[in-house]
Amino acid sequence: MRIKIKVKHLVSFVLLPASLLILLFNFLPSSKAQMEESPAVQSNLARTELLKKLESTTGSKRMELIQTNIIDKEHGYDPYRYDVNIGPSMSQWNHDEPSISDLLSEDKIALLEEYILDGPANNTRIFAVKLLAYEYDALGRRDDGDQALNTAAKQLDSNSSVAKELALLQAERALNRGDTTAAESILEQTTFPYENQKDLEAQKAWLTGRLLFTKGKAQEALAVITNGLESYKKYWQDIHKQMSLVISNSDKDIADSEAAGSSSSSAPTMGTSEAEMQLEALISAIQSAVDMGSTSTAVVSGTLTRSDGTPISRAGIFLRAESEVNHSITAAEPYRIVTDDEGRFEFHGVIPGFYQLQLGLSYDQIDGWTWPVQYDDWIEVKPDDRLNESIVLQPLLELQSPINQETITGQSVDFHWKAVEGAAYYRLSGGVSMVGSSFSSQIRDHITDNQVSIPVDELYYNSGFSYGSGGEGFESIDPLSFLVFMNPEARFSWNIEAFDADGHLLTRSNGYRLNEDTVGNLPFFYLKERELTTADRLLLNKKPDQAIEMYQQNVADDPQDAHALHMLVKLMLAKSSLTKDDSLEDQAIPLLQKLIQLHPYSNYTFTLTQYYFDHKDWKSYNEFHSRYNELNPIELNSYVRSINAVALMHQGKLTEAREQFAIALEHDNSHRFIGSYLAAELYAGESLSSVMTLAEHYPEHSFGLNGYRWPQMIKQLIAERTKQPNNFDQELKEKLGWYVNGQTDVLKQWIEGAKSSALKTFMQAVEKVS
Amino acid sequence: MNTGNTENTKREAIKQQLDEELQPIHFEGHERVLKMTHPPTFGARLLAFWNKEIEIPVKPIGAIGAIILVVSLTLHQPEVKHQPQQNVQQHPNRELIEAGGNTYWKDIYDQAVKRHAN
Repeated sequence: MRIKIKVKHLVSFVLLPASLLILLFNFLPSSKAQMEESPAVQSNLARTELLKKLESTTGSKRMELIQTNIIDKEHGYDPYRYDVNIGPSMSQWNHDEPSISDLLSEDKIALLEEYILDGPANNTRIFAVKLLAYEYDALGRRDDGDQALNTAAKQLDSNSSVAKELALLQAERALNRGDTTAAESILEQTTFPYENQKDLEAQKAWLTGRLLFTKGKAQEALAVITNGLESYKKYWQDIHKQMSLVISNSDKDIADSEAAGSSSSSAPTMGTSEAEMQLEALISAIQSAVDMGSTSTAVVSGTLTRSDGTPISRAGIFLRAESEVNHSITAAEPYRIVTDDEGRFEFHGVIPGFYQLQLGLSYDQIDGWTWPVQYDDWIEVKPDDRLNESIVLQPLLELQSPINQETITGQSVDFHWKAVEGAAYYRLSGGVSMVGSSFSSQIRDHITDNQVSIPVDELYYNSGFSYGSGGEGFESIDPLSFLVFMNPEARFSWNIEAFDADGHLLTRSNGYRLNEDTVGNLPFFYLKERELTTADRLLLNKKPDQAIEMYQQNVADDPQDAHALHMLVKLMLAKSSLTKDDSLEDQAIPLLQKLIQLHPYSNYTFTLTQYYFDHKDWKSYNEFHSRYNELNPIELNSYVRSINAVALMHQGKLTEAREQFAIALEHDNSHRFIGSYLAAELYAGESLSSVMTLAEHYPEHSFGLNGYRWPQMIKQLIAERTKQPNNFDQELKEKLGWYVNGQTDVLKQWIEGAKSSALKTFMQAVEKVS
Repeated sequence: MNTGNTENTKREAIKQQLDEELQPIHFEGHERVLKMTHPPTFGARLLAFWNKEIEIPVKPIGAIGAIILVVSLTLHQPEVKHQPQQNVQQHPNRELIEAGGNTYWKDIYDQAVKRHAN
């Protein structure tokens, strides 16, 4: 069949409509884009609906609506709560539902403004005003935030708790922007005639303490805070006592009536409240500053941006003191701020000391990005400093191969990743990544290219003897952490960190990958080069003792069986440390020496040096340390160098030891061996004042310890020396001699018997350095 | 011979009569016809094409149309699938998990792992 048709009819009725349809489906911002926008559209719809609903209601109904839709939606009524908190040594996400608000910032501001005027004058008003001030701060309109507090305080009985709390909030904001005059006048006017406002009183003591320190009155500040803390504690202790009385009486009643008291209830235990923590943290911060002679505050400011310069607004910035970084962020942080529309932040009245910054971000803000910060990055705030500490987020590094769970069967694994601009070297780490179990360790460091080929033997055997365990006892070991790459059934993951020539982290491959575009290549692969032996299977089935026997059998059958030998040594060392059975370690050492002949890897030699170090066998120690140096292709890391410096010191090679300490401390930001270095320097005849310079230059940052610990101890030594310099010098030399020459037992004995003195404190600290 | 002459005379007579009858009619459309059969300008040629009548075989054209339809439908398939996925992302009770040192939404991670399952 054929159709007769004129060209003009064909074009206008067939071709034109068809091409229009094609255009619609493929090229115009089509259905796909519309779908991507749909959440935004949805939220916009929800917003319009909510606003409409609000428009149609008035009076208390309307206030209730505002409360349920804005104020109650905030998690824990704390605006400074974010999806994700990231710091140099931590990264955690909140398990709350992501806070997605349908309302725009300007909607919220208008409604909250209304609420603080017309809503009920209770705690909710305080939450509302906190939220409002936060919204203004995030827009860079801090003055409006202050004004909002003024408005909220109007029409209130000035003696009510709400009015007092608002006043204290105003004082805190004034302090935070560096306006001591305003803070002072507010605090002076805020008094507490009634007993039942202890929490607010404690808050006032905290603010007054900060104010006094900012004004240079450190001792007065300490007195006010200490008093505040004591009276707060006493108040609650009294209440606690009364409660326990009431409860024990009622217990008695119950017991009497029931004849046999089956359940015993006790008074609620006293926890540490946020107010107490706040006051205690402030006391320790001021005390430490006073000890260092620092009695004026500093300003820390900066911007938070992405690497392309885009500012990140509405992000939380927390400046956290050394003594506080180890616990998670509380609602009582002294230095917290929300970045404004240009990503800026500025902290006033910062008490001198060591700090780390931590971030609060939304999932959207961190997705696909990382903050290249390392656990030992510290900010030292000195009196009157004006520090700029800008933070730049970097895009996550992309891995290229092996990826997406591919299987590798060859003799080596070729790792390949996208080069990072300005990177001098990369660090490759990896390990097992199974559901519910993962174990990762460094594979190779200082890789200068953006690819490296690692022989499987290196993956198998050079990972050292670290392992994971789920508790006490040998049975609790995690078998996967023993076999790691030698397990053809396990899935492995790897990651890369990029560093510049000065060793600063530039970016990393690990981070938050929360949508299809940022998930990127999965960092997983399988390595099926070898097969599991019977002994391996026993181990995987959580029968480690049987596995040990089987590996022993394997080695007896074939002394060249490096795999069995490796597993045997690793299991024996683990068992020795978990069961505290040193004889097992002694048995493993000769096997390890055999293993080195089969597989000369630096990690094996390092384990041997540690063993001989502990046993003070310096001849063997030196032998394996130099062997380690031969096998280790890169420069010694600061930890190994420090250990070697201590070993040299104990061998009487003081000059060499001091040289090694000096290099090691320069490269280790945690300065964990500073105590040993100071001891070596003092023993070599350096004066206390010259050693003081070193102590200040290399502050030790260890868990729960103060960075000014060593300078403060040296200061005490200097003070103690002035009484009887000759006697002191003699005694110091003697005690140091015990330490330097490795006579630890003599030193420990003296410490136990000695009465407290600066020398005892110092020697105790030196003895504990490890 | 005579017969032939008579016929010729007859023809001539008819022709003469025809000529006489057609004498008042003159053909004046030479130019128009020439223009239509050999269009001198581009516009005129286009117009001619525009009004041209063509014949289209139904079977092959129908077959090609069907193929185009199937291909375009399959190309659009992933986009249709996209929708539920996007909705999952907006789900408020999603679970975050850590795998290989990265933090993923569990649903997206599971999908990616499934896609690359061995």
